[in-house]
Amino acid sequence: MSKALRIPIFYLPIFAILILWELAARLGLLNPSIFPSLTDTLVAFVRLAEKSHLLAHAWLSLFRQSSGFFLAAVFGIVSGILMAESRTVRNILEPLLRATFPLPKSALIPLFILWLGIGDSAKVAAVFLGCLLPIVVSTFNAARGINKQLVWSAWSLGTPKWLIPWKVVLPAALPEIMSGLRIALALSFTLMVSAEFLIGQRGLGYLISTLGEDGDYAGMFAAVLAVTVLGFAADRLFLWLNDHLLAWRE
Amino acid sequence: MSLIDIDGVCKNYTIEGDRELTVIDHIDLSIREGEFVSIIGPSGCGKSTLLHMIGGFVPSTAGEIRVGGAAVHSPGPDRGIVFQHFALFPWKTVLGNVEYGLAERGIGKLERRDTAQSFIDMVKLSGFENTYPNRLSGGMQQRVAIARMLACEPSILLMDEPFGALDAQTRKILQEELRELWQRFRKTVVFVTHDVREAVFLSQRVVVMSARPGRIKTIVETGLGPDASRAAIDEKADELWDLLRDEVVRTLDEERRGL
Amino acid sequence: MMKAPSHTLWLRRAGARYGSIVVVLILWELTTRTGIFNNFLLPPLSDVLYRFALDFISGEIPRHALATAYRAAVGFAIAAGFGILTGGLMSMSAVIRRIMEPIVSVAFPIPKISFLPIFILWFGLDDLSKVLMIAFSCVVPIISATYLGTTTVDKYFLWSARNLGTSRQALFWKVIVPAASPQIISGLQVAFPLALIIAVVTEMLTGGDGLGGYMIRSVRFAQSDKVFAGLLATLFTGLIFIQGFAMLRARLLVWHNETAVTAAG
Repeated sequence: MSKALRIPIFYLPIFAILILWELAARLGLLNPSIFPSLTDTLVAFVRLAEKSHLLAHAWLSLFRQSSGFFLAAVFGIVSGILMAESRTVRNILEPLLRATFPLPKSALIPLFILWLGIGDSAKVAAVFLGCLLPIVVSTFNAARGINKQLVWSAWSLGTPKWLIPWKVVLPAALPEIMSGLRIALALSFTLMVSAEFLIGQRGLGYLISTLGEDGDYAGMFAAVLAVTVLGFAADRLFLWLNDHLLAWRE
Repeated sequence: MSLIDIDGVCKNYTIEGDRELTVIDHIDLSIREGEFVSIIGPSGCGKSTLLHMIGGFVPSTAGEIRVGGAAVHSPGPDRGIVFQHFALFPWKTVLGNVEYGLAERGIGKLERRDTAQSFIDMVKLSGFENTYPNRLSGGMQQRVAIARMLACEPSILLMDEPFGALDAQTRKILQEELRELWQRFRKTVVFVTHDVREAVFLSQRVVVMSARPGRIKTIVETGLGPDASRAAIDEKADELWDLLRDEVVRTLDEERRGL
Repeated sequence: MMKAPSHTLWLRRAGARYGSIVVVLILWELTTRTGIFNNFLLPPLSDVLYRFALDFISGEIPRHALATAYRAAVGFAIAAGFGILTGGLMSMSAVIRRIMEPIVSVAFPIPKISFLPIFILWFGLDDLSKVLMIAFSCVVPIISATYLGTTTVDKYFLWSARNLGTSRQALFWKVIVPAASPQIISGLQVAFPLALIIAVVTEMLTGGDGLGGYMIRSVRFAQSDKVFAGLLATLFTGLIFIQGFAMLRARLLVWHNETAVTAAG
C-alpha cells in the first residue's frame, strides 16, 4: 500500500463518524436547534470565513498561542538545562517550581486579567506561564538523564566547560525535551482558548462564546471545528519537525 | 623520564552527608613515555576513578597527578579518553564525531575533513563517514571513539575498559588492532580492564589494584617489547596469568572475608 | 567517620529546599509594604493571608474549594472508569482498536476545552456540563496509557496463566490488568492535574461557585486581595489533590508488588 493512501485509511473511523453525524441529522435524530448537521456547520464555516473574518480571528489566536508557547519553550529549555548543570540555579529554582507545581495553570488567568487588562498580553502571559512549568520540568529531567560520559568526551576534546550545556547536553537531551514540548503544545491551545473565552477581544475562543450567546449555533460549531483543526494541524506539524530534527535516531 | 606522575593520590567521597568512603588510598605510580600500562583489579578498586583523575575529570582529595611535570587540573586534548560504552555523540555522523576535537581547535573545514578521514581509514571504517552511531555495531562504535580520540593527537591515551561491552570475537580483533596501532605510534597508554589476559597481551606493565580501599597491590612487568612475537606473548600470558589470577583471587577472597 | 555536625547539615539542607521560597515571600512583603510595588496589583502578603483567613473562617473558601474538588474528582472518576475500560477493550478486540486508535490520536492534541460552550448548550450551566467537560478532557491520556499498558504485558505472564488453565476473560482481569497497572496509574497521574485545571476554567466561564468563580468574580469586582487568596486556596486544593492521589497510588502499588511477589514465589 502506498504511503499516501495509508494515512486516509487510518483515519477512516473519523470519516465514518462525520458521515454518521450527517446521517443522524438528516434522519431527524438530532435536535437542529442545538445540534446542527455537518453540512450546516460547514456552510456556517464558509459564511464566517467570508463575512466574519474567521481567518483574522484564527490568525490572532494562533499568534497568541504561538508567542506564549515559543517564549515558554525558550525560557523553559534554557532554565531546565541550567538547573541540571548548575547546583546554584537548581537550588534557587527548584523550591519555587515545587511550590507552584500543584497550582492549576488556568487559575492564573484572573491574575493576568488583573495585571495586564483585557488585551493580547494577558492571553500570551497565560499561555507562557502555563506552559513554562511543564517544559522546565521535562527539560530538567531530560538533561539530568543524559550519559555523563558524553560531557566528559566533549570536555576532553577541548569544548570549554561553559559551552558544554549548549553543545552537548541540549542535543543529547533533545528527544526527551521534544516529548515534553509536544504535551506543552497541546496545553498551549487549551490555555489560549480558555483565556479567550474569559477575556474576549477577538480570537477563536471569543468567537465561539459570542456566537453561542447570539444563538448562531451552526457558527459556534464551525468555530469549534476551526480550533480543533488548528490544534490537530499544529501537533502534526510538530511531529514532522520532530522527525526531521531527530533524524539521527533513525 | 616519566610522563605521568601519580604522587600520593587519595580520593574520598562523602555519602549521605556525613559518611566518608575512601575509594583510593595513597597511590604512587610513574608511567614512562611510550609505555603501555594496564590497571586491573576487582570492581570497586578505584581503577576507573584513577583513570578519570589522570584525565582531569575528577579532582583528587589528596596528592597530585602531574603530566609532563605540570599538575593536572582539567581535561584536555593531550589526554584522550575512550569509555566502555563509547560515548559517541549520537546526533553527529562518524565524520562529525571524529572531526569534533579538530573543530574545537578551530581547524578549517577542508583540513579537518581530510585529517578525520585519514583516522577513519586507519580504524578501518572507510565508507561509514556519513553513518550515524546508532546504525553501527559496538565494535564499530568503539573504533569511531578511538579515531575521535586519536585525531587530536594526544600524547596519552586513557582507555576505560574499552572492550568490555563487546563480544569475545570483536574484542579479540580490536585488541590486535590496538596493539598494532600502539606499535606504530608508540603513544603512552593507560588501559583499565577486568580481563587479565587482555592486560598481559597488550601491556608492558600490569598494575594490580586491591579494593576497598583502592591501593596498588603489585606491579608486574610482562617483559614483552613492542616487537614480541605471538608465540612469546602467548607463553608469557599463560605464565603470568596464574600469578595475576592469584592476586585477583586473593583480593576477591579478602574482600569477601572483609565484608 | 563524621564529617560535619548534623544540625548544620540539616539547616543547609532546609535552606536548599526552601530558601528561595522564603526569600520570595519576604521580598513580596517588603516591596509591597514599602510601596515599591503597587499595592492594588500586588497586595501585601499579609493582606492576602488575612483575606484568606477571613474567607476561610467564614466558610466561603472551603465551600468553593469543595465544589471545585468535587467536580474534578467526579469528572476524573468517570474518565478513569471509561478510559480504563476502553483502553482494555482496545487491547482485546482488533475491531475496537481499529475504530478507537484514530479517534484517540485526533482527540489528544485538540483543545477539548473549546467544546465547553457546546456542552453548556446541551447540558446547561450547572454541574453536568462541567463534570462532563472534565471527564472528556481527562479520558484521552487514560485510554492511551491503559492501551499501552495492556498491550505490552510480558507474554510469559500470559502463557503461564493460560497454561494453568485461566480462561480468556479471567486472563484479562487476573493477569493483564494487574500487570498493566503501573502504566495505567501513570496515565491516571497525567490526567489528574488536568481535572483540576479544567474544573477551574469551567467555573471561571460560568462564574458560579467553585474556586474559578470566586477568582473571576474577585477580578470583576476589583478585589485584588481576593484574587490572591483564591490563588492560594487553589494551590492548597491542588496540593491536597496530589497528596490524596499519591496515597491512593501507594496503596494500589503496594497491592501490585504483593501480587508480583506471590506470582514469582
